[in-house]
Amino acid sequence: MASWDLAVTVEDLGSDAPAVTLSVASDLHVGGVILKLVEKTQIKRDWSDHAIWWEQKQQWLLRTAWTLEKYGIHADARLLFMPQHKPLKLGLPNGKTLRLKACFSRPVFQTVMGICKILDIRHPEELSLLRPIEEKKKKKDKDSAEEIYDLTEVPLSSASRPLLYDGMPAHFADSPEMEAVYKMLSVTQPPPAPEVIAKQYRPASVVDKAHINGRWLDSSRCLMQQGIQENDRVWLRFKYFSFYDMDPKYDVVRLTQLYEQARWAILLEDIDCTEEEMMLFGALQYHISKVSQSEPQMVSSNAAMDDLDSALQSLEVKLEGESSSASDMLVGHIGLDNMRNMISYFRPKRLTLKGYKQYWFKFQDTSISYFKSKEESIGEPIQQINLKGCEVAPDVNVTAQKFLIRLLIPAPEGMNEVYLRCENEEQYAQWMAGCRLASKGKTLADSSFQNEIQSIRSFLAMQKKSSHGNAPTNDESINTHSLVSPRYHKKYKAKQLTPRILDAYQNVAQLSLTDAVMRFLQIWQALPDFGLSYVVVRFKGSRKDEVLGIAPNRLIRIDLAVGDVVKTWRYNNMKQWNVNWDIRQMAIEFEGNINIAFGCVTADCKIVHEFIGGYIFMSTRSRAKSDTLNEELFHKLTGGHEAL
Amino acid sequence: AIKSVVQTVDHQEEEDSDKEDQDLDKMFGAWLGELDKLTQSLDESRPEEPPQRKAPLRQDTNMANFSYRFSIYNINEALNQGENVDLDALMADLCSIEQELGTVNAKPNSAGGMARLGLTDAKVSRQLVGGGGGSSGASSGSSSARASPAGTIRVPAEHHGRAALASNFSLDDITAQLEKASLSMDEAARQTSSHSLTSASSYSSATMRRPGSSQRHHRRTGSVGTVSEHEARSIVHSSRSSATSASGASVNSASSMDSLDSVLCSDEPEGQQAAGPPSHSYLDRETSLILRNIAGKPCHLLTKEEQAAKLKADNIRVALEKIKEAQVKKLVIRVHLSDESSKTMMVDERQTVRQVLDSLLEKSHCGYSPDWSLVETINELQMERIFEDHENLVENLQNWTRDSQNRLMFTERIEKYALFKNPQNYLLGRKETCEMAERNKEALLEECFGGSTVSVPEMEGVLWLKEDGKKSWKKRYFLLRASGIYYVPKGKAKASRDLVCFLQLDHVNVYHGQDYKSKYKAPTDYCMVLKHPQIQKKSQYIKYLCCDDVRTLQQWINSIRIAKYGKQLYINFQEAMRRTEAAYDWSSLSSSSIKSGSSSSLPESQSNHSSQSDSGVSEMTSSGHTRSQSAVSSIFSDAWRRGTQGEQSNVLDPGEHQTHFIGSPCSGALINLTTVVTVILAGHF
Repeated sequence: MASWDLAVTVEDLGSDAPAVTLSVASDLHVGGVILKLVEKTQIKRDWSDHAIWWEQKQQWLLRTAWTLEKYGIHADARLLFMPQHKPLKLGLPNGKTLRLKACFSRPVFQTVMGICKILDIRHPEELSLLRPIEEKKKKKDKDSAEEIYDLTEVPLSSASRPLLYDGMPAHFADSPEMEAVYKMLSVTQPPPAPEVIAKQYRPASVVDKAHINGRWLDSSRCLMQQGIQENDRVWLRFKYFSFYDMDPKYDVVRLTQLYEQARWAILLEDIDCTEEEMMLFGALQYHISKVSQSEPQMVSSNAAMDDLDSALQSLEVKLEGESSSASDMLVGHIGLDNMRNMISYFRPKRLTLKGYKQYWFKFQDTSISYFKSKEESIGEPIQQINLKGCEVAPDVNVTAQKFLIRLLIPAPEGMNEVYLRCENEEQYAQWMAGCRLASKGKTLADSSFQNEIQSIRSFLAMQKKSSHGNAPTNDESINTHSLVSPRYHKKYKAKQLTPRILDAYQNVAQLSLTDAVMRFLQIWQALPDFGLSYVVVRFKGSRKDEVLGIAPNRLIRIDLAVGDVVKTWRYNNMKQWNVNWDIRQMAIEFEGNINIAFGCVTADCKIVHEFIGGYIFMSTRSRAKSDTLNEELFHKLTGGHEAL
Repeated sequence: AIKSVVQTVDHQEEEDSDKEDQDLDKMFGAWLGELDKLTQSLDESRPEEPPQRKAPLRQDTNMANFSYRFSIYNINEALNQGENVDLDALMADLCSIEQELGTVNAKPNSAGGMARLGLTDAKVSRQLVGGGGGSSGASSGSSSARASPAGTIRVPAEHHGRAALASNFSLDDITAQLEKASLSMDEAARQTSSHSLTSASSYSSATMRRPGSSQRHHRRTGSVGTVSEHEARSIVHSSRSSATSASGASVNSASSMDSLDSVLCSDEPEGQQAAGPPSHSYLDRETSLILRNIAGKPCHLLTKEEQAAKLKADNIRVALEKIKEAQVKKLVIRVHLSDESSKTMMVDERQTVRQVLDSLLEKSHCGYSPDWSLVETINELQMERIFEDHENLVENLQNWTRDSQNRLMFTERIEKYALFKNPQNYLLGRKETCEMAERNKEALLEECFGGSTVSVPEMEGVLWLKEDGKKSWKKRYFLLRASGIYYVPKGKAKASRDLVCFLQLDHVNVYHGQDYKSKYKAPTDYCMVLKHPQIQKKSQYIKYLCCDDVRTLQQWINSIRIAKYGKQLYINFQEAMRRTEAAYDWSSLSSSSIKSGSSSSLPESQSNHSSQSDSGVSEMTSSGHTRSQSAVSSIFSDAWRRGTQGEQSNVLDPGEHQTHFIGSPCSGALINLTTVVTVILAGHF
């Protein structure tokens, strides 16, 4: 067979270096070309990651057994010999940027799998890459100062799951820098400054929210084919809101990043919630940031020991609770005297204007009793109030020195409303902590008492700070505006916000870090609009744009004029769907002869097709129950005609 | 007559009392006699005890007690001589004592003819006996035995203080022993190991620390020998509290604990907190250190010492569990059946509604169906609620007031699990009832309840709200979210951020209001009520909502249940279905004598038992299981439909018939819902 000259540019020789010319025949296979090429460059190195990219066809020549003829390569082909894994700047859900080597030659689905392996995120099928929103040029100087965590040195391993060292993948244990990267990945970020939140792009409408979904990369094609270059920036995000088998034990990074994505979705009003929910999210963020700063995450502890610990602890609490009828000795850490105080007491009765009256109060078990004076406190109290099961709410204004505890105590006749007015912060913190524990049936001897006091103090401190104008935030205190969306920055001053968040906070203050993160995710997932990805579409036969919402279990049709859901279709009833790639139209058939068809406006129909197929793939996972990812099925469901 | 939880157990008047009540009575009588005898002998043996300090006592006759005394003696010796104590022997003693306590507990607590006694527990009955000599003891016993609802504000005018104090007997008793055990352990540890420890750590090894906090502290810092300020404080605290309980115990149980008296200054009454030995620990430092070191190590690699430490920990754990069991409250309740008869039974404070239902079903031979429910009816407020299977019954009943007119009904309610039998009518937010293939129902349920989070059905629409304190009902647009019930304020769109929170669901239960058209002038009779379970009387804190039709009402009630209980509801249903299937298995074997655990048995053993008897079912594959499950539910729904059409239901197979009608005259359906059973009954007889 006649031989001809084939020019191949070798990237490693530098951009200026001339192409290497090889003499080849058409029946030479690609492997042979690479061999010749390597011999000719005379560079000794590991070439195993290298492959040839055919520029005109936008195609990698990965099948080394195929001949040039089979590929259809002639002398005019512009070929590039380069590594398949190249550095990529990855924007993480927590807002940090990571540089790592990603695969540019395989479908994005596999690229994401590789990235997740390095980052120690299970179930990579739930994530994908998208093109970032272009940032305004103005802030360029600031961007350059941005810290980039480097992971490019991580060797590419083929093991399905990296070896663990100290609970993290072994490659993170190599150096202090690597450990810092792992910390960034696995520990939640402190709340952002309110200005940072305010500066971020916030979608104002469903249509705005739809635009982001046009940016997803195609899972079935590789990065090179989608115009992503070395060192380009892409975002890594959870795409399919169907989180399988979340386990705090194995999913440290996954949970942290998911939490970050959820947190930003709420702060930027990407998902709507009520004011009460926002306050709860705020309280959880506050708690999470506080706990994650104070306690480094525990590496696996022995379950049996924990059992014993908790058994002993609960016994102790019980013993103390039981024996206390004889004693006030229980009031341990802070000393008994602190919990016997002169406190003003007020019980609002209808149509009376009686104010507060001072009594001598005593805290015992889960009850408070009060007496006329200290001297009479040995006798029978005027009244004893059991706080178990009651609602405790703060009514505090630090600047006005108002420290009220509002108690709503259930009784057969209804709720009894009682106010306790404390003299000062310290007294308030202790009594408030006592009341909260008692409402949960715990005594002052409970080990959480000190923590409770501490958290109340820190919250008071926060209010103090915010009342002195907007002091710059530091690690110590958090501006409550950092915890809620900008809408509430306008609606409430920080000092108005603090008591509201504090109110919600009391229900979550006892949670461990993991539990708090899980709770945050749970509440997020329970929001009515959770998991909806929007696309603007035009239904067949309709003259106006409408929005299609794609959820993990259903499709919804939203009328833009009304802003309301007009129709819901569930995947369970779906019989088949087709894509007409020529006219870019999707057609879906549901049971009962329901057919819908639409063209996509804000996103390519491949993206919509992939969303629907992806969710159907996600729903098959529970049945498969195996650890290996059925990649073939994913591509079958999401690939479209290009994959076949 | 309507009976409340707190009842006079009077057997002459107990017309419908069944055999069990009589057994109870007999046992109780025998027990009383025994105790009387004991009291006498004790009075004789200790004439110097002032009467008001006459404490409850323990049978001195059995071997357990002898060995118990013996071990106490050993401890004292060990304390003096610093010898190592055989902890295991001590644990064995503790266990036997516990057993003894258990047998006393297991005997009926209803003090027949002697006192009004309903809500009672081991402590109280002992108290009664202890004060048997004087009538004051009995009366104070009955007053403290009264079900005083937790959380109510009460003025402690009655017999208080001392009576309550004396009843701390059993726990304190055991506590004291436990503490002494650890005391001696510490002592031993100090003797043997002080040379190897720094002064700081030997100090703390001889010091009781609050095990939870101090151990956690260790784990966090990893430093072992340091004693932080916080820790030091807790040392002081806990040694104080232990002194309290120990001396309290010796006061209260003076008769049987005389050996303890030599150790603890207990000649003084409880008010004086003599400083007890400043050192004790459940686990001494060394043991806990060893335990920490061996955590996760396989058994065969442990050294002898480590194994011993592990054993020690295990023993303590067992002892703790036993103590918990000894503390169990029991409650005699009256359950009303739909035929106006009633049953008296005893429930354990740990029992769930499911467990109580099981034992009721077993006793009443009324055939198994998942629809059997315990229904709380609050007559005064004309509302009712089906208790969820996972709820704790005693906890709920304790919310009733003493003079409550409330009733507990045992009846079949089709609406209890209608949600799972026809999920399409509840989960899809549709307006009309519709059919769905079984396969799809399963998929739908799996989708809604199978995941990590349960999504609340999208319920929204116009409801009538009764204005606070007014007679009028006002229309509002309500929405249900996982975080609570909201409404759309006037003039606003229903965007999430503008919604006003009507109430959050954590503290309220949803009730079904009855006949509110005449009671409250409601627009319809399809009303639901949201209130805190402790509220028992008319109050502004009770919220009344009225729906246009029964379907909407059921959708709202069920959606609120989902929002409140989530996955637990589905688990309850699956469990109920499992039992139903098991019951069918039994009936086909025509073995009506199979027991599913009696009311007094422990929940653990009961569940063990039922899982054994369920074995035929649980061996099935899960997919097969759900399929058969829904097959059953479809039979039910079919029957229901046909039943309401007035047809003879020949659809049910004979086996099912049988199970339904065994002894069924005592059971049946009630109130406005005719169930499948009654319809078939009519055709059958």
